[in-house]
Amino acid sequence: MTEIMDELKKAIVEGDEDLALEKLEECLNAGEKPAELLEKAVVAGINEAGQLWQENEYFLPDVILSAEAFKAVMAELGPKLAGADVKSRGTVLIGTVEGDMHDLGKSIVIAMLSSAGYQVHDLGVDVPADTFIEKTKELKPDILGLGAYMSTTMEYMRDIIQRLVDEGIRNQVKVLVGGVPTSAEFAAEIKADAWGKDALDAVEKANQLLG
Amino acid sequence: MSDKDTVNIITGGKSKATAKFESGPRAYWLRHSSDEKKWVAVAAQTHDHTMRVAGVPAKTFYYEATPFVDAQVAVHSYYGLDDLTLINDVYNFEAEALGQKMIYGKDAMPTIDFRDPLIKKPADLLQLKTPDFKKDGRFPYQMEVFRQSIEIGCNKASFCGPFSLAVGIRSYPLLVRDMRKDPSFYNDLMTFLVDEVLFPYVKAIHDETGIAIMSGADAWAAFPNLSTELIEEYVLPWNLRLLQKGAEIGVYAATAGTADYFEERPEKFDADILKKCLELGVRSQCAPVVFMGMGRWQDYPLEPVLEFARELKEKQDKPVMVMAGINARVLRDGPVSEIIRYVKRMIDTFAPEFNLNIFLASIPADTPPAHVHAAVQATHYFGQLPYQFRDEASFKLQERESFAEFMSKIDSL
Repeated sequence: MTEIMDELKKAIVEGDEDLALEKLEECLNAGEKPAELLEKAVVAGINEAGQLWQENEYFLPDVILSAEAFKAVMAELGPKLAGADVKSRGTVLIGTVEGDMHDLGKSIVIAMLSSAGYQVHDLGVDVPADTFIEKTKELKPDILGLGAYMSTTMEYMRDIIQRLVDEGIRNQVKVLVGGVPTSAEFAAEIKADAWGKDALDAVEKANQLLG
Repeated sequence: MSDKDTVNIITGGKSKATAKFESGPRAYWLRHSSDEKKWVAVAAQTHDHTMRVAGVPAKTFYYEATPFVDAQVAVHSYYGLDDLTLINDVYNFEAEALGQKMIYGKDAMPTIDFRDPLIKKPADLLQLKTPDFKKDGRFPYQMEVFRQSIEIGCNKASFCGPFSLAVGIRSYPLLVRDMRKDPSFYNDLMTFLVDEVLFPYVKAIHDETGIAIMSGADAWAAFPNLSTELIEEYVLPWNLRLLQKGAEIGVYAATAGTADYFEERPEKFDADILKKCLELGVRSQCAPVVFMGMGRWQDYPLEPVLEFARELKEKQDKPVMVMAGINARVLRDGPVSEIIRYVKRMIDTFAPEFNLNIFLASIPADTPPAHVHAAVQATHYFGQLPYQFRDEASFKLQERESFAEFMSKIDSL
């Protein structure tokens, strides 16, 4: 890895979005290949942040800044990866359920899933059940990720899963749920396929679901 | 302000209530709340659950003070809780009145639209003004809730802690970036929120209602939302600034949930970090209260808390209160036997040496009432005072009537 790629990785680990974009530009100007930048600097950077989080060296503010830097770099780098041999582990459609505006946890989940090789479609927050169903039919994701952060809104997850059944597409998609008030017991109760206790766990569960 | 007063902020201080209620839940509460309690007290944050159990629509519950208070008192009475905790969507009022965009869901409490923070750039701060606490947003509703609280013996009010309010109008990622990259703006923002919003609000509550004990909610400053270093540098000084300003007008306005230890992964449990969180909590409240709030206490070892509480007692030579949270997921998911076990574990650990209160943390909306009854009954049974160890097998859970049945006979109880 070149020194400049290392600097890009470091900027992502340290959550310095402006510096990361600057280093990305320098890397591209220096002729570094986008696919190699993705693997060795960008994904490696967010993975290192995740590792530091797991080791109690990083806390939520550090992780969120790394995730933001990752997101900003991916927005620039993504279009340049067209045609590159970037393998996807699967497709994830994700959103926070209706009436719920919290997206902090979802942002980190998206960054971690992306870094783990998943193609993630983010529906945002306050997403009605109809939208989850329509987009599931349209995009045919491998995994549908549902987030809720209030005990009143988490019950919409049950409705969405029932809608998948009613529409006859439940067996075409795995459902992964998460969010502060949810639990493994709740996930089992509403017949989700898995519960992610945090962003790193969500990646592990996604890997398990897709074998 | 005495230690007893400061401890009351969590448990709900008693004041002389008016005897104007002749029937219904408020009359029931007044008849029974003066009973002498010979057990560890149990309190609960119940708003979402109350709304569901009492069948009050969100558009009424979060907007009209009388049905809100009636429903809360009725549900507190049904469960036999020892103190009233009339908390609603406490994180929203100040932000909403400042102009923060909100989402008003049909079945849920109002929530801040974090996609659209009020302060998108530092210059936006200059446009903000102290709200009118008599008119703006839902302050009239909240002031009326406080007024009615006093009538039933609950002489405490709530507000949003400075850091959590800053998150509400700036968003967490932007605020974290401010802390790292623009600390000067961060200071300006926090100065405005404490001096121009929260202190005037605290003063207005005091002027309007006479309430002198107020508790700030601060879940955004829980660990690991922030590291202990960040809490100490960026949160604690502002809590203390508000506390100091409140003290100057005779009000104890302490932010209580700061540094609440809430590590999701039990394998990452760290006793040193936990102790630091407890220390920050004590400093934030300027009171010897060991606060165990929303965390997974069923999975953490309790010895570090016990050690901390003992050291605090020795150092301060003052009565120490332990506020022991029963986790929301445990309350919802059960089973009843586990709920009873966790309550008993807290009591057997802390009741022999400390003034213990059990706190049912943010009971989820669809929690089976039997789970809450189990937690309350277990507290009252194992927490008989003076404390004496009671074997688990000796506890017999009493089956209870439904909420509707309770309400149908409330005036005869």
